[in-house]
Amino acid sequence: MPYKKTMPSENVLAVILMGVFAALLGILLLGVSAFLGRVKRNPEKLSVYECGVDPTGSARERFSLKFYLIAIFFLVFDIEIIFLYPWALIFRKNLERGGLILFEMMCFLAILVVGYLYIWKKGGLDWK
Amino acid sequence: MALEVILFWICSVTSVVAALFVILHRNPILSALALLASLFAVAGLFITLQAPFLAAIQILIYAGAVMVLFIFVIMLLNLQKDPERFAPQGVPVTLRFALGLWVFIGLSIPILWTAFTWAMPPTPGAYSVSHLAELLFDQYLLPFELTSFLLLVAMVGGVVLAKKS
Amino acid sequence: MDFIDFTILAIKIMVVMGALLNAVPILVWVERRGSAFIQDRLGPNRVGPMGLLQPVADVIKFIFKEDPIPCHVHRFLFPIAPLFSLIPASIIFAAIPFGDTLEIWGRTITLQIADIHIGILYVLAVGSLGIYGVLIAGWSSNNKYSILGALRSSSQMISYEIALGASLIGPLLVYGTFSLNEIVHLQAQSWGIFLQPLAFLIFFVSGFAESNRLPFDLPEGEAELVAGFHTEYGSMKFALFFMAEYIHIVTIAALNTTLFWGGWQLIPGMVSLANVLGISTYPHSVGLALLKVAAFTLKTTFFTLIFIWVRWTLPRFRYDQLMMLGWKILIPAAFINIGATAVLLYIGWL
Repeated sequence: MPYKKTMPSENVLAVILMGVFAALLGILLLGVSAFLGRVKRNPEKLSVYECGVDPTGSARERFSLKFYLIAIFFLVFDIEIIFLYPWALIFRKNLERGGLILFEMMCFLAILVVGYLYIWKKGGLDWK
Repeated sequence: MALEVILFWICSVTSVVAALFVILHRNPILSALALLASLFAVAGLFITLQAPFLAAIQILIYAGAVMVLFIFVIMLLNLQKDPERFAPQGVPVTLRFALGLWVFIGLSIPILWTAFTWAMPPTPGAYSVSHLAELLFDQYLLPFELTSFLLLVAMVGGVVLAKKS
Repeated sequence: MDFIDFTILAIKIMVVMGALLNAVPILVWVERRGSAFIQDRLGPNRVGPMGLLQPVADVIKFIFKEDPIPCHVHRFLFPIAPLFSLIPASIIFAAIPFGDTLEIWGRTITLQIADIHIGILYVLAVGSLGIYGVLIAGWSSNNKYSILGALRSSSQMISYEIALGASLIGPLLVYGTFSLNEIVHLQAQSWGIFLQPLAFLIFFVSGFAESNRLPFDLPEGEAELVAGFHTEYGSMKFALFFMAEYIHIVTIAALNTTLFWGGWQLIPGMVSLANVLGISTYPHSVGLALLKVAAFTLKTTFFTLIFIWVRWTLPRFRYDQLMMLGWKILIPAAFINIGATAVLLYIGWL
């Protein structure tokens, strides 16, 4: 049954419909609340929440580089994991033709483990 | 079939409009979100080409990881509405325009001259994920193994950059 | 696809979304009463019998509450940020099979909204989008607590997403398919938990972090960041974040069930129940299909309740401990699981 291997349009339609349903529901709820909610504004209510004190400085501060580093490592590991998915998918089928595929991936992972240990050693994973 | 055609038009128009928004809007965060929309539309195009694996990767890597990094950087650097910063000073407008036009033409010519092959699989499901995996771990094994070195370099580079400052 | 197929699809979407949306007030009630029970309090007990109507009162309050948009927020992104949380949380469920195929009036109905053959990747891809609700809400609020909360929350989510993604490679090696429906079928004899216990543990823990629940709720650790990324949100906008969180919990519980606990496969005692009722003779009968949906619902409810139970019994992690758990324990564990599974398959023990 080769056709089952593709993304039939019913599935695309189903996901789109589900997304539209969720979006419409959210918009409807927001709309109802904005329409029915009472309106009584004052400057205090519309100011920045900072535990009752007048806000000091801007919220747009610069932040720790740590977050940025985490994002970079995430990107690298995410790409690495993406390669594991097709590998894992055909792993069982390929075992019958000899186990070469196991060693191919082990080489790939070994190099990345070196990188992981390097990051660990250099303190890239510590949060200080 | 009709759904695919509708989806194709929605996605291609969205990707182009969003891409224009990226370069024309002055707020970096909104530009980044427009880029996100554009990447989504491209993922939609992959679905119309019956390449759902590619679409999933597009969303997982580009929308889920690369754009998060972009938005982090924008938030970290605290980029405000500051278009002048990106404009090179002292270069006349006509020269900038000519340079842009030259790049545009230079890119258009090879695109127009290429005889594109039909991107749809000959039979539905001919290019499945397992097909792709078989190719990757057989014919294209060397590039795959070299990718791990690229990723290693990226990791080391990240650490070095962070430690420097 | 004819009109009847479309109607069936629409009904399925309505039923699933209806179930998810109705689960929210019920879970809120269970959470409040459950937390009260655990902490030796009474909890809400005034509105209706045993406080059962409390969620209804909450909904009415959410709708009629004033919904100010503060002056300092981003006019366009602030109001729509909750949608970026709600939509991904809801559409993940499209790929999860909640029952076996059913034959009725000569039509075969799959009890799943979309039998996506790259199901696992779909779940991961859509799941990775949940981060935008948090990021956009935090940024557009233009408030220190919100931005710090959003950054912490998104860093936490991306850190645990790696462990989450890597933990699914083990089951994938065993099952050899991305399709969640096929995975459930393959668990007819023995559930995934017996083949991949470590993968389940990693997935389970990362699931908590992904849904920002205690002990991983640092983004909104009240003592430090008020309410984290949704500090500036009130009334229905806050309610949508709240709904998204609970829908996320149900979805992760359903994924735990589907990948490791046999999905809609009958719970052992149910087989004899089916025999007693005399509905086990024909595999696609309505009675048996309903029983399987019940099995799926029971298992999912069980894991959802564990989420609530854990929240009220475990203390919160410190942020550095949380990052250490993700990067130095769960990720290596996930890769050890991948290696061990691959080697066991290679020598033929699995």
